[in-house]
Amino acid sequence: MSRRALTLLLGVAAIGFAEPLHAQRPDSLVAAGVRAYRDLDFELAAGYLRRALTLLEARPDTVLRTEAMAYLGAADLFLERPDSVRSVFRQLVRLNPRYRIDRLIFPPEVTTVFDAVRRATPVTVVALPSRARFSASDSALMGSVFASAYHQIRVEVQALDASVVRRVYAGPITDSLAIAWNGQATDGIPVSSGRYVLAVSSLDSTGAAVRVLRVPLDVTVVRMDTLLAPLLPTLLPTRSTGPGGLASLLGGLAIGAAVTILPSAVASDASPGAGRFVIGGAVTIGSVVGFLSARRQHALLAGNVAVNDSLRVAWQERQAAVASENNQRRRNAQITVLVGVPQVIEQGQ
Amino acid sequence: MRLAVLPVVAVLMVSVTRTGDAQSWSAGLSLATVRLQRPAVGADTSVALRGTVLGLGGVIGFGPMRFDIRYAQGSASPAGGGSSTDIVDGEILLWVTPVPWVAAGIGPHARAFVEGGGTARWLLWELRLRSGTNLVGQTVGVYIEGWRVLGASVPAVDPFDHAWGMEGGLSVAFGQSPLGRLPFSARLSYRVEQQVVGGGVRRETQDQLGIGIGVGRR
Repeated sequence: MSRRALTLLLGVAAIGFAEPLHAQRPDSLVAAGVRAYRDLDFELAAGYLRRALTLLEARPDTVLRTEAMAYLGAADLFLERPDSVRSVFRQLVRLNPRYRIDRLIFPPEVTTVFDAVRRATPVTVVALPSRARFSASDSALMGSVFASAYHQIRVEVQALDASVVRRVYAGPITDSLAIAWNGQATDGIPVSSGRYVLAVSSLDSTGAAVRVLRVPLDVTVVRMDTLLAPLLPTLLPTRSTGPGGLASLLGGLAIGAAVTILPSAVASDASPGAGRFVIGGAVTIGSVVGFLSARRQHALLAGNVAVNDSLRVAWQERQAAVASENNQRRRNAQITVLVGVPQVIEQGQ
Repeated sequence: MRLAVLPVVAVLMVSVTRTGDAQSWSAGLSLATVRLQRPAVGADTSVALRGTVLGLGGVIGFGPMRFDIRYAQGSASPAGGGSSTDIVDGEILLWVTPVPWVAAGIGPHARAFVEGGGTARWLLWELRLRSGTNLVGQTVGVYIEGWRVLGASVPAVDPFDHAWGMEGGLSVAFGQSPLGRLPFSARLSYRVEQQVVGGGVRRETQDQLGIGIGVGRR
C-alpha cells in the first residue's frame, strides 16, 4: 500500500469514527465554543454557541445557557457585532437577573458592555417555595425578589382580573428583597380561597411598568367557625303606656260618677254626705288632668330606664367580646399556597 | 282599755309589714269625718251623729294575694247635742287579683258602738270587689270598691236583712318619703255603707270622708 493510499484510508476512518457536530449534545457544543473562544476563533465559537443555545431553549436548566450566552456575547463583541452583543447580553440578564459576568475570565471590554446592558435592563426574578402552609395571624408566605440592577418595583397580590388584593411592597430594589404575604387582603381579613397572582412589576423612571413577573398562587383558606352575635335583650318599657290614655280617662270619669251617684243607691233612704262630691269631683278632675298630661308625655319609668341601661351595657360588652373573638378567628385562618410557574409580560414590546 | 288597742295594732302592723318575703307592703294612718244615721229611739225618725275617727292600716301582698287590715277608733255626737258614741271599727280582708283590673276580697268587718254604758257589736262578713286605674303615670290612681255582706251577727232581736257599701277615692304617690327611701303616698276617700235589719224596719247608715297617708313598697 502506498503512502498516499494509507493517508487516504486513515482520513476516511477518522471521518467515519468522528461524531458529527449536529449530533453532539449541547454541553459539548458549549465546550467547543468555549475552546474556540479561548483559541481566539470567535467566528467558530459563535457558531458552536448559537447552535448550543438553539438546542438549550427547551431546557429548564439555565446554567449552561447563561455560560453559552456570556461567551457568545463576548465573541460577538470581538467580531464587532454591537447589536448582537446587546441582544445576547439582554437575553442573558432576563434569563438570570442575578448573573454577574466573571471578571477573571472576560476582559474589561466585555464586562463593561455587559454591566451597561444589565443596568439598562431592569428585571427581577422571584424565589418562592413551591408550597407553603401558614397561619394568617402569625406567619406568612416568605420569598425573595432578586433584581438585575437598582430600580423601582411594585409587588402586589392580585386577583385574576388584575385588581389589587394586597400591596406587598412598593419601592426601590438593589440586589435582593425579602417579601412576605400573610394571606390577608388590604382590609386585614384573609382572602377567600381561589387563584391569585403575585405580580412583581419593574418600573421605569416615570413609574410605568416595563416588565411584570406574574407568579400564579393557588390559595386554599380554611377559616375557623365564627360565633353568632348576641341578640338584643328584651328591654323594659321606659314610659308608662297604660294610664293616661282615653281608657283611663273614661275609667276615671266612671269612678268619679259612681262615687257621686252610687251612695244614694246604697243609702236608699238616708242622705249621703257632701264628701262624695268632693271625692267624685277630685277623681273627675284628676282624670281630665291625667289625660291631658299624658297626651304630652307619658311618665318616664326611671327604674326601667336603669335596668335597660344595664341590659344594654351588658349586651354591648357581649357583642364587643364576640366581635373581637370573631375577628381573631377570621384572622387565624389556615392558608395553603401552591406556587405556580412564573410568567413574564414585557410591556411595550 | 280600747285606746290601748291602738299601739298593739300598730306593733302588729309593723311586724306584719316587715316580713322579708313580702313582695309588697304598706302601712299608714288615716283620719276621717264620720256621719252615722240611725233610727231614733222611740220615734219614727232618724238621728244623725257626726264625729271623727283615727285609723291605722296596712297591706301586705304576696303575688296576686293581699292581706288588708284596718283599725279605726273615734267618737261621734248628735248634731243637736247629747251624749257621744264611741266608735271602734276593724276589718281584715283577704284579697285576690285574678285579673289586673279587678280584685276580690273577703273577710270580717267588726264594729262596736259604745254609748250609755252599753256596747252594740256588729260582725259582718263581707265580699268585696275593687277596681281602679292610674291617671297620671304611676303617680295618681283612682279606685272604687263595692261590697255586699254575706252574713252578719247584729245586736238586734230583729233578723238581719242585708247590708252593702261602697268606697271610692284617689291616691297620690310621692316617691321617697321623709322616713327614708320608702315611697310615700296619700289617699282621699269617701265611704258609705248601710245595714238593714228586720226587713227594712231598721236601717243604719254610715258615711265618712277620709284622708290617709302611708309608706310602703308596691
